[in-house]
Amino acid sequence: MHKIYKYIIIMFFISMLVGALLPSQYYNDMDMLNRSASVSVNHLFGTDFLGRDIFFRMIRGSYNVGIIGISSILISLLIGGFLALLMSRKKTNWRYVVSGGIDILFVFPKVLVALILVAIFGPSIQIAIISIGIFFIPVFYRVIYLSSRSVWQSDFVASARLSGLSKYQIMFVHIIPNIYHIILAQCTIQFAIAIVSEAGLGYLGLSVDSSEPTWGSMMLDVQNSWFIDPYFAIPVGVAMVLTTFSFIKYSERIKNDNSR
Amino acid sequence: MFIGSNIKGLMKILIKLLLSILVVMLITFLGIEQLSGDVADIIAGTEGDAQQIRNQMGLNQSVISRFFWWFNAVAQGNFGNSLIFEVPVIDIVNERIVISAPIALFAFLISISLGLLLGIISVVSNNSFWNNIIILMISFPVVWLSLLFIMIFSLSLNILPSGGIGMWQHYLMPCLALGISQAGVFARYVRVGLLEIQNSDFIHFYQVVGFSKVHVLLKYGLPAISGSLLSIIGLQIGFLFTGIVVVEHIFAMPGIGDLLYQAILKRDVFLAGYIVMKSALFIILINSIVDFIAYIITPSLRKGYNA
Repeated sequence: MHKIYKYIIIMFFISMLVGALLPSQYYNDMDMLNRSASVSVNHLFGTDFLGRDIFFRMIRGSYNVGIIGISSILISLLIGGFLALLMSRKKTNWRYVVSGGIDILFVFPKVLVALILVAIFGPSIQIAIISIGIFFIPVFYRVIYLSSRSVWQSDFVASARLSGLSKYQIMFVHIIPNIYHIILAQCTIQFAIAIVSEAGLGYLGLSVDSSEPTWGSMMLDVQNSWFIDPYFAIPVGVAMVLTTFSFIKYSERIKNDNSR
Repeated sequence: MFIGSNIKGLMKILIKLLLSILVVMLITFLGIEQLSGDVADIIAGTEGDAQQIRNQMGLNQSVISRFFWWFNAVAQGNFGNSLIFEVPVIDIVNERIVISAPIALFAFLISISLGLLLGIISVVSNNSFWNNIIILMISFPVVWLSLLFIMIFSLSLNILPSGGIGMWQHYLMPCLALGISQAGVFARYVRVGLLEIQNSDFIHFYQVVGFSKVHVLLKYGLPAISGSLLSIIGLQIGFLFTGIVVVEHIFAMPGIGDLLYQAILKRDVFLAGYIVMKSALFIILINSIVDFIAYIITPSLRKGYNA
């Protein structure tokens, strides 16, 4: 049963790759004669209210969503993870400053950050990445802080320190390999959360400009064609739920495999 | 010793609260500054002397002194007038908050009660079906769930209105959509907490003595994790705010989330600033209160707060 999740994740990444290479006429050209068309050979999932092919928009959307997810995870992992690794080493008073600052980040709703950034700079993919990434920093900080604290206390770290390794060398040689599976499981689950968050931001028109589709902005298109054809959101919605579900299940699998 | 460590922890919560308020004020001020652009140029137009207007309005002073000037005005309750509606921002917000408050309250109640129920069931029943249900609930974004509700209940069955305000039917779908998607997250935290604690010694002890597993988990397991669950509830309030902006947009409800959306995109800086500040302060205050309660009911937190 768990194999299905793996295949869905692999399919998502394949569709991301295809989406990256897809020329824009496939997903942006309007077939005016076949607006709001249903399933056919020419349009696999039909067309939306402007006659754009839903299947290709979904593929391109998966690329954009994937980029948003991966980049926001990378940013927050770098910032949050680095701070957590530094702070978990010794009990200094800086810890209170950092964890206090991180707590404030967690309290600030991400839609506020996105709205303010969009009002200043206009909608772009970077805004979605930043506002989701900021929100992920506290998550990674807490997870990595809690898991690396015990590793810093272990004997092999002490012996590494005695043999003259600097704290950054110890970080990369000993700490990170030991908590690697925890970070990987958390990244997998954050990817799922990024997809869900992007749906909200994209629906509000805060994630990409209008030339590119994402899964969230395709939800926005539904509202524009409410009374013509509301059902074209179904393929996107199903894809979104399946992908998110699989990523969460897969992260549970990583956790279980390593805790045994 | 006991009282001393207590006061130290409470002081930390208080200092964090004050610092958070200061940071929120600073962010709001900088946001207003950025959003409004160079006001003097706009007022001066092509003929006026922009430099003179800057002098008059105090715009050539440093950012810090302007911040304190603004801070002083805000502290006296003067938040300015809305640029769109041309009335004091406090009046508009008070008018709109009446619409958002029931959505937030009922969604919150649904998410907590449903989340607690599902979390407990999934641990007690010990099969993956309930766990999958929880993950499925997390996987449904609020947007998609709301659209699905509208498709089913408004467009197909035609029993509920798809948007607007006024009757209780209008609130049914927004509250349910928001509540269910939040409940998944909370249920997961309940589940993870209970799974961790069901292997601890005192749970085993009670089971050996002869209590049933359900009884032990409910009576001794839940109180043991209630501290961490409380801080999750505090965070849920923040998530709820994001959800409310989305839900009000979908269901065309002119509440506070919709107002914020309009205000920021139409660059009504005073209105946006007031809403941002008020909601952020509210969220921070709730979090501090929740931290405080968690601190009181959880003895382990008193030893090493923030650890």
